[in-house]
Amino acid sequence: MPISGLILTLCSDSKAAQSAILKCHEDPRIEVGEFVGLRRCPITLTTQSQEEDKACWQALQADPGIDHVDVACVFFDDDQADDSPKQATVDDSDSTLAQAQ
Amino acid sequence: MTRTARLPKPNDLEISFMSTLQLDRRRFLKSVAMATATAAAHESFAATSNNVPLPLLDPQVSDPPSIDGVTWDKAPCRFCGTGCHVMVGTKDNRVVAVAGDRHAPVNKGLLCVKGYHVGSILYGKDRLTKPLLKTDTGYKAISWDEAIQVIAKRVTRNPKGFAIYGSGQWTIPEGYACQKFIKGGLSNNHIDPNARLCMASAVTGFIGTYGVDEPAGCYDDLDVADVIITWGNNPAEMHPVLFSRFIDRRSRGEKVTLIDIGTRRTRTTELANEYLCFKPHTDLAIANGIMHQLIVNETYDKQFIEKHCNFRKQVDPHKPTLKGAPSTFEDFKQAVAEYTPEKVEEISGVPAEKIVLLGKLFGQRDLRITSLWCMGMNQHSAGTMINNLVHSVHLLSGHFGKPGDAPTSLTGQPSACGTAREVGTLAHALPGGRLVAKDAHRHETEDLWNLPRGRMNPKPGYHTVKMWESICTPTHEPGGEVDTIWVQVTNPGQTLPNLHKLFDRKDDLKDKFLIVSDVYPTATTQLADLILPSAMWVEKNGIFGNSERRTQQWFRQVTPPGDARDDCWQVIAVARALFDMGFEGMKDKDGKFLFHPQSLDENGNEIPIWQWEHYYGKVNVDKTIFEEYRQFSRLKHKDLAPYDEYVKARGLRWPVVEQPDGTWRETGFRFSGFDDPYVRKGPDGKPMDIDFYHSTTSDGRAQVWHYPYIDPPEMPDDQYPFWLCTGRVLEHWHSGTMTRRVPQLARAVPRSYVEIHPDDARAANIGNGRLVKIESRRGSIVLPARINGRGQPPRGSIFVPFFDETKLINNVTLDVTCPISKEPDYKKCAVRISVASSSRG
Repeated sequence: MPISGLILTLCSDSKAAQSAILKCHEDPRIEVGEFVGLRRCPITLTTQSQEEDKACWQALQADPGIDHVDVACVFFDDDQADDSPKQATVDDSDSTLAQAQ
Repeated sequence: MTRTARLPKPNDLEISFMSTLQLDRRRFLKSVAMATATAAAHESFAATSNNVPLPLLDPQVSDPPSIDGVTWDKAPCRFCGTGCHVMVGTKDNRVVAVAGDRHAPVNKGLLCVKGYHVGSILYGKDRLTKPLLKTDTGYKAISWDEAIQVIAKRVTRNPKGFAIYGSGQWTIPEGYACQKFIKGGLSNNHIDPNARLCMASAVTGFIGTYGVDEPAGCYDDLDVADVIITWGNNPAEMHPVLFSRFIDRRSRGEKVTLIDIGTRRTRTTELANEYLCFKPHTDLAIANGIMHQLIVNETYDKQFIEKHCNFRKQVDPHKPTLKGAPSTFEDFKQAVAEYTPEKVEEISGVPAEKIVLLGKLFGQRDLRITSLWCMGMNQHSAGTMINNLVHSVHLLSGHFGKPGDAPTSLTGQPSACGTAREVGTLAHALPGGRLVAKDAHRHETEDLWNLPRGRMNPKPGYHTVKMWESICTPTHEPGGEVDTIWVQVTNPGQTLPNLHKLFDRKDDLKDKFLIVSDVYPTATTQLADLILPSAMWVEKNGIFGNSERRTQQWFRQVTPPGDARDDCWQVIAVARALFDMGFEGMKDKDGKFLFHPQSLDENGNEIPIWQWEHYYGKVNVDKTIFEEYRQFSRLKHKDLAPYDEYVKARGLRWPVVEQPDGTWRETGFRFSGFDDPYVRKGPDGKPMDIDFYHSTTSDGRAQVWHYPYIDPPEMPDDQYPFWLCTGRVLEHWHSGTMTRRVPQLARAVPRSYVEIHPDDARAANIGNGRLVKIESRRGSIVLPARINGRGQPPRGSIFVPFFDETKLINNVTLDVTCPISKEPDYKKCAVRISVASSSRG
C-alpha cells in the first residue's frame, strides 16, 4: 500500500485551482495539507495498490487546475514488483534466455 | 514454480492485532508523508548563490523521518542527468522508502515520478542473477570464475579486436576502470559510451566555442533568469525537478517568460508564454535569424564581442570541421544578412514576428536569458553546428557569464558528464579532457598510470556507430576487425539507429562474441553470447557527475541479488585473470598489476580486490580509483576534491579548489571572474570579468560561429511524406529496461504508440488506438495511434517514443550522424503511414 507525500502547484486561474483542491478534499485517498504561499499545497496520497496510486497521480497531473506535481517522499515497503515486460523481438529465434531463467 | 514459501495463516486475534499495528503504522507514515511534503514545499529555490555554505550532512537533522528499523542514506537518483539527491530508506537489506533530499541544492527535497519510484527498479522479478553462457542448446548458468576466463580468452585471442561499449550510467570509477583496461591495458582505444548517441554534439559544441567541454552556467541560472528558452527540449517531462524551479517562481508571482521552440507540443508548451513550432532541422535558420536581428537592430553587445570573442566559419559547410577557419565581424554580418525574419519563416514555418520577438529579447541587456537544450539539438545531423549557433546567439548578445544568462545543455543520463565526458570514455579521449592522438597527453596518462612510454595507441578507436558496424561485419572484410564487444549498463540492441542494418546479417559472424553486463534481460542480452549479472544503483558504491558539473558520491546500501556483482569489479577481475596469464598489457612498467594502486589499503598492503569476497573489504575501490582519477582533473581546470569531501557533501561542482583554510570551494559559474578561480587577473590585479582560458585561439576569447541552414540528408517527399521524430516519455527512462519493471510506470504507459495530428489521422482514416504501419526506407513498425494525447505533433509530423523493447522504432530511424560529433540523428527521417489493421491496438 503506497503512501506518498506530494506537492501540488496550482495554476494561476483561481477558479480552476479551487476546483482542483475541492476534488482533492472530496477524494478519501487524499489528505490536503496547509498551503505554502498561494499556490503550493502539500497532500498525502494513500492507495490500495500501486496501480491506483499511479492512476491518481496521473489524474492530478492532468487536472487543469494543477500546473505541476512534485514528489517529496514515498513509502512502498508493501509493494510487489511487477511481472517482467515482454522481451525484445530482435533475434527472438536465437534466444533461449527464457529457458535459462 | 512459486518463488516464495507460503506463510502460515494467522488466527483471528493475530489478524486483529496485526491490523491495528498496520493501521497505526499507516497513520504514522501518512503523518510523516505530510510533514515531509510540507517541509519540502517551504523550501525556496530562489536566492541560491555561491555564498551559501556547502551543504553538509548533519546527523542532528531529524529528516528524513525516523521510522522504526529504517536506515537512511543519501544517493543521487539513478535516472536522468538532473542529479537529484534521494534519501534512501532501507530495512532488512531492501529499499523500502525514498524521500527527496532537502539538503540537496539540486532538488531541495523534491523528486519527480521517476525518482519517486527509483527504489522499485531493483526489484523486478526477472533480475539477472547468474552468469549465462550461450551454448548450442541455449543459455547455461556458469560460475563467475568460468565467465572471467571466457572473457580473458577472448582478449588474448585478439586484443586489438576487443572493445567495450558503456554509457553515461556507468559510475565514474566504472568508466575509469574500463578506460584504463582498454587504453592502458589493451592499447587499442576501442571504447565508447552510448553518450555518443545523446550528447556528443553538446561536447563538440562546447569545445568548438570555448575550447573546453561542459556548461559554464549551472542550475542557479534558472532561479534568476527572466526568460527561459527551451530549444527542442521538454523539461516539464524530461527534467521535471528542474522545471519545478520555474514553476515555483511563477507560483510566487515572479515574472518569468518561458519560450518553447519545438517541433511538437508537449507539457512544457502548455506552460509556455510563446510556442514557436518549427520544421525539423530548421533551428539552424532560427538561430541565424536571431543573430540577423541583433545585427540589423545594432542590439548585439559590441563591448562583449570586442573584448571576448572571435568569429569563426566553416570553409565548406558541407565538410565542416571542429575548429573551422577564422572569420571577421564583417564576414559574419554578411553571412547572416540573408536570414531575414521572412526568410526564416519560409524555411522554418515560425512566423516572422516571432523571430523579431526573439531578436528583441536577446537585444535587451537588462534581461537575463537562459537557453536549455538536450536531445533535440544534439541528436541532429548538424548537431555540432546548432550547438555552436546557440552559444553564438548568447555570445553575440552578451547574455553570458552572469547568473541567469547562460546557454546550458542538459544531459539525459546520470553521469553522461561525469563518466562519459570527464573520465573521457570516448574512443578519442583520455581522462581530464586529454586526447589519445596527442603525444603529450598520452605521455601524461602513461606517467599517471605508471605505464612504459609508448604503451598507449595514438590512433583513436572506433566511435559507437563504427564499433557496431565493425562487429556486424565479417572479420575478413574491411572494417570487420572488432570481434568482441563487452557492453555494460546500456542497451544498444534497442537504441542504436537503423538496427536492421546492424543485426540482420548472420552469415560469417560466427567468430564474433558479445558480452553483456546488465541487471535485466534486454534486447541486447537477447543477442549476447555471455551475460553477466550486475549490481545496480545502491547495491554498489558509486559516483556520478550531473549536468551542472556536480560530482556526487554514494555508498552501497543493500546487497545485489544472487550472484550479481559490480561492473567495476568485473573489469578488474578480468584484468587480473589476464595479469595472472602473463598478459603484458595488464602490467605497469614495474611489472605490477595495472590496478595495483587501487588495491592498496591505507597501510599500503595489497588486498586482492579482484576476488569478490575482498571487493567490499579493507579497500574502498571507488575511493582508490577516484583518487587516481582526480589527478587528471587538474590538467584542464576541472579540479575535483578528495573523495572524502564528496562523502560529506550533496555533490560539488567543479572546479573544486582548496582554500587557504583547508576547505574546498566549488564553482557555479565558469569563466566569470566573480566566481571561477581560474579566471586570470587583469592589469588592475583583479580577476577579469570574463576569461575563456581554454580558448581554441589561445587568446582568452570564445568563438562566435556562422553556419548556414542546409537541408538535412533526408526530407519528406512524395513517397515518404511525413517527418518521424523519436524521443522519451515521462514515465519511462531511455530503453525502459528499469522503468518497465516498475508496475505503475509500466501500466501507465505499457507499450509504445505513435502520436499523429488529428487532421493527418483523419486524412488517412486513422482513429485513436487504431494500428498504424510506419515505414521508412530502412524498416517498418506497427503501433497504435494516439491522437490529441499528451504530445501533439503538427501536421506532417509523427512522434514515437523509443522506450519499448517490443517495438523497436530504431528499425526505422536513419543512421546519419553529425559529421563532427558522430552523433546519430534520431529526431528526423522521412516515413509514410497507413492503416495496418482494422483492429485497435
